[in-house]
Amino acid sequence: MALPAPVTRAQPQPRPQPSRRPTARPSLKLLPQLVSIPTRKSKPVAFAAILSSMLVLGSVVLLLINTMLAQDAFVLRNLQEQVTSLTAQEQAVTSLTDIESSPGTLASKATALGMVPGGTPVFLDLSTGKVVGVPEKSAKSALAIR
Amino acid sequence: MTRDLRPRIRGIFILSLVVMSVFAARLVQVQGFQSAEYAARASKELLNSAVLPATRGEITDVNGVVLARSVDAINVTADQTLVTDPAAAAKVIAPILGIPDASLQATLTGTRRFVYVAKAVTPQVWLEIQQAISNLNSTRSLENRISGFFPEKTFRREYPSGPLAASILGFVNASGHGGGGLEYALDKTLAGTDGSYIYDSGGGAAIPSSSDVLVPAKQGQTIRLTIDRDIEWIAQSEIDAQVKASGALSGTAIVMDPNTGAILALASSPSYDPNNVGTTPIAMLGIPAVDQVYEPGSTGKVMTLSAALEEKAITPTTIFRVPYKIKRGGRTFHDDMGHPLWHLTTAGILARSSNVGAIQIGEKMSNATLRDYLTRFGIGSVTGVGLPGESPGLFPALDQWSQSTAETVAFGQGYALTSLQATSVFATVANDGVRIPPTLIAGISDSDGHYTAVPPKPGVRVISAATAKTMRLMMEGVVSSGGTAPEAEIPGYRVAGKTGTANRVDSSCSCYRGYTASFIGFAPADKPALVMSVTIQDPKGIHFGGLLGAPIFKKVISFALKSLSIPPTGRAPSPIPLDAYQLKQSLAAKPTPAVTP
Repeated sequence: MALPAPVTRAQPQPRPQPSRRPTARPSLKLLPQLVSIPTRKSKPVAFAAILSSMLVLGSVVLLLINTMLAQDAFVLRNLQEQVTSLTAQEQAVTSLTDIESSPGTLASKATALGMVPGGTPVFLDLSTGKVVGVPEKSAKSALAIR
Repeated sequence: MTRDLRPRIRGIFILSLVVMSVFAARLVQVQGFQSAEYAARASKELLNSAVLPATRGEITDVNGVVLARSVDAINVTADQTLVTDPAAAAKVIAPILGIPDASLQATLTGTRRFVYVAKAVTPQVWLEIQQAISNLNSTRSLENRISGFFPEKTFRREYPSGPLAASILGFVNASGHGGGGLEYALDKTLAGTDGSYIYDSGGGAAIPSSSDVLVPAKQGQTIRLTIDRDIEWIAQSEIDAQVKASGALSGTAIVMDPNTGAILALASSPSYDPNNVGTTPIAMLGIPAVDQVYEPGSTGKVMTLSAALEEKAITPTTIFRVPYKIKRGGRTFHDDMGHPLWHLTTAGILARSSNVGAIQIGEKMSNATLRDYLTRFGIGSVTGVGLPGESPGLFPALDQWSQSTAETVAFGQGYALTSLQATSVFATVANDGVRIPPTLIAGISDSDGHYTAVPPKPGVRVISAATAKTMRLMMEGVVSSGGTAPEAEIPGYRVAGKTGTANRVDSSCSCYRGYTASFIGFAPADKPALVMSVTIQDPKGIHFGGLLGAPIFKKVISFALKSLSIPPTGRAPSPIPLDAYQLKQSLAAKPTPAVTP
């Protein structure tokens, strides 16, 4: 595809026209156009340089972004592992608390401490200062009601 | 010198056109006609999908104490071909899992690529296994290192209170779905919906940042019960102790708020631990309070008397001549223990629990009226509490009644009910004659913690408030020194109730053998806040409801009154005369009787 241009540029010199008319008129002055060609030639180099540097820069940025993403993914994975482990710990502690605070465990621990179940319900009315209900000594209690 | 380049250009042009056409054709073939196949092949090689398991919702008591929850768990799996030294691996792992060394070694030996080593262990155990293997490997050369253990994420259902409320909570089967009780009945609400996600993988490992959630998992909803764990516990421990002490087959204890129908405790004995349901006999996995029926006996007299009072056939002080025996419909009926001729009031018949007296009261109404009242009290229909396998009981239709059915029904035999139905009958009397269906579910929270209370169920009026009040006064006589259950008395409080000692149908011989002992009561009698039933099936030795049931009632209700801060009403009872002599005395003391029907 690039072939025709050099061909046409090569043509002007071997053309036979000057030999027909020896007393030639001043030349055709196509030079300014020819002069402009070298300046055009220098441009593609700069352009290619810009392009390639952009390409390199883009690749580097892309690589950096990818690295960061991958890095974040690893951090995320570590944090997720941490969450899993902490959740497991929390669940284990909660289970233990539940067992320790269950009424059965509390009752047996209280019995071991020498405590006994309460007797009949008795309330103290704060507005009148009266005892509501009939206080009674617990069947198993060693203490006396005063 | 100049050569015409055009043919060559044309040649190249045509050649490239041909090549391009081939490419294009192939492109159309790959992208157009076979695209689905290739996409599938690509995704098979690169794209993986996995299930995001939904966490099952919790079940809590009325105060939010967790009764059932799902926790993270690990299924430990192994690739036998990678476990290079099964003996050494088993030696360090078996103590962590608490299984015999030899059986674990057998599991690890072979050429299978996938075996389960242990199911649903805690993440802590998995960490310990990993640690143990890495410790072991640090002492071994590179080629002798042991690998091949993998974790598989799963959930484990945990019941922190063990056997407490086990029969109503039920259990979860191996597939993670409810297998009994509320876990089964409310499985759809509790289970949630699994989600899914896709991820790219290369070389067997997931590529970081490649996962993409397709469908997020919808977590299960949390169910809040009306059960109060502490009251449930005391009911459970007391019924357990009594069933054991009396050598009984089984027993149930139910505590209910008559004003709302909320069940505060529902304990069955013997109970089981839902954490180890695999080792529990299937026969024990039922819910006796709703799936076992029995003939109520004397507690059924409450319905007969309520009906007769409501129909104005009797008053609380109507005098009856009550002999020990009475002949009706070709059969002889008698009271529990021999006695001379009594002159009892209606209240006296209830307090002494006379069968003969109850028959005489029943005769003052038509059979249809009696049956109608019992039906309105809920006999013969399920309570709708929402537990699986609930029985409506047995209540023969009127045209199936024999000559003596009316008499037996009057004193609580000849029909069968569940202990929950029996509790509901007494709750109706306690709630001024309005029957509110018993309920176990207080409300439901979604995964965001948004709580929705279950709307209260509408009540049905069975008897008038005045009749209910009269019945409560008469039932206070039962819990007096002249009644059958003085053991239920709570000093300072007014307590009302009724004992039941019924002949029990033994299904093995289809005959009457043994007894059902029961006590149902409420407190405070003049402003009922709590109703409780205690039912004991087939006790050996002592079989009276007043002796077996009433003490449990006293202990559990005393505890519940304290824990719910329900003070005594402080009003003095006005006892209804129990016999002709007391009636005469009270009439002499006061010209007008304390209570009129």
